[in-house]
Amino acid sequence: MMMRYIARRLALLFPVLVGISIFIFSLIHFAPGDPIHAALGMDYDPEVARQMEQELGLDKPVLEQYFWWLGKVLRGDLGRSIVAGETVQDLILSRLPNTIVLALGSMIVALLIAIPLGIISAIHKDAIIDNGSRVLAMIGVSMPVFWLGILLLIAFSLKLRWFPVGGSFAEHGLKALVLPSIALGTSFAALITRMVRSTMVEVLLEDYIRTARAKGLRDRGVYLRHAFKNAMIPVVTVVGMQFSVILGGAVLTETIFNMPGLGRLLVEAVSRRDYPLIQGVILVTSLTFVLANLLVDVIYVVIDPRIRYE
Amino acid sequence: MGLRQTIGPRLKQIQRFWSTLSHNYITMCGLGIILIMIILAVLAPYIAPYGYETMTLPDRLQPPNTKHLLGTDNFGRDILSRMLYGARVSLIVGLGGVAIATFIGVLLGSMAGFYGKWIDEIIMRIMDSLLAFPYIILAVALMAMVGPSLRNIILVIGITRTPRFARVTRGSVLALKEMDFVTAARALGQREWRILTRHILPNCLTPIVVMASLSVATAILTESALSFLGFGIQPPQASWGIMIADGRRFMLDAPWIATFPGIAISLTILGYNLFGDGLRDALDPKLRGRE
Repeated sequence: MMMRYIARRLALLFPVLVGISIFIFSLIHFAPGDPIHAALGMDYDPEVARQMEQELGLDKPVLEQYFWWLGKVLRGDLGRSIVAGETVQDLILSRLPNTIVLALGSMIVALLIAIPLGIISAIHKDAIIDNGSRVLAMIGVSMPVFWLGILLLIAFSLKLRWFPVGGSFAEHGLKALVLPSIALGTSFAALITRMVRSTMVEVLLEDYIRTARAKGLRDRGVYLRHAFKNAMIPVVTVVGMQFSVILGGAVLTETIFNMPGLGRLLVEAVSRRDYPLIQGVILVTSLTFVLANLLVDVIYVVIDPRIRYE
Repeated sequence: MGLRQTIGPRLKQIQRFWSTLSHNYITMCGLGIILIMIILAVLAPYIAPYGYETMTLPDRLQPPNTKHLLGTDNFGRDILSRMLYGARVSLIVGLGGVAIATFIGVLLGSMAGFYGKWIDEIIMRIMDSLLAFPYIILAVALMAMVGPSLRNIILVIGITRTPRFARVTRGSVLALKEMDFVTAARALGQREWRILTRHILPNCLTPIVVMASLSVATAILTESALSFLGFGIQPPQASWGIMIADGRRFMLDAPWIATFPGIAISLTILGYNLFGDGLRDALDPKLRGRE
């Protein structure tokens, strides 16, 4: 039954993947002006331009171009960066780990804040701590991640010198991850806190919780053994959905903190009209998001037996 | 049926809704923030002490003082004036983008939900494809295609928000099209399009209105992010995002350049989020039932 569910999800994924590929392919064709002219700029040379046109397949009819490009992508060939000269896959592979580490760091920060705060808010519903955490959550969701990043950088890197000003995990270790993870994880934490609180409040009203108390189970046992597990089920889905927000927020966070990740690579590629690189980065990030969502859906089925039998 | 009989019940409904909404002080705070921002944005050309691009180089990097209430930036431009004009940009982008998303999303979602079959499949697979891209990345990619300008930002934000409106509308239409009043309308010989527009869509307004309110916040945030990255509003036009980008270099020596626009963005988004949440609670029949 589980395998049938996964197979069905994969089948539904196919048209989405086709749609993604068409959109990414179209980027180079719907851009204003001649993409090669735009990319080469002052260094435009007709001979180089003709070579690039052949490399990018722009000399073929559009439909033929699409299938030619798709064939290359399926073989793992994402082309060559117009500006850097390196292959797109090499550039992406060198930056992808930094973005993944940032995304995981942000999720950890977010969950470490959100889960305890959400549970405490639910248990003490409408008390000061509950109202306070809801206000904090609202403020957290409303602050732009790039502004929060700048404030953290100024306070903790430039003034207090507790953390490096920028750089990667490889250069400075965990210290380089702390501030970016807090900046990116904050609005995520705010959303998850509200979700945890809301689901926990609903679960605590359920009959089986009343039964557990009637059986003499102490509060701690009620909350941790019964309420928490059931309240986390919808939270898992939200975490998966918010992964796209984290990937998007990574674009801004990596720019602020000078981290050599995929987000910053995309910004650099767009600034220089490096279309093969733009296409490659967007393809990898969207595929990562699609697969992350699929993983979350499978995890959801594993932890909630009711879904399996629907 | 007389005018009183038709309008009366509707007016009572609106009064009840407003009474529920206005009793929530947090929601009213949100509405207050939104109204203040709108008024400031609309009146910006009349109340701004300087133009958004007026440079007074001898006054550059001044902290808040009596001549420049929120200080000046590295070009001697008045921060307060630029923030007021930036509020106009946020208002135009927020409302314009959401209007486009609502129009296209509701149209596509209602067609998908009402007609079903291959129309539903094609429309929703396209929407799913758009939703497969992380939001900011999709916006950056689209801006790379169309080039930076105010009009293009509005279009891009509209396109990126459309799938959510389409999904919400489709869900509502699917639930409503099997109801008795729709069957009755068909039995009376009403055309399909008329049934959709006169009977079904008006009953779908609740989730659409809530989504629109919350989407304005996302639209303003997206515009400021795109402008911060250099893909949105271009200088010398004023936008809160550009102001933060400009002020980033001077955060140690002149923190007011980036701080005040950041507060403005946060407050505005907070206002829309508070109001949107309150609107959802006031319009949700399940929550009303609990009260």
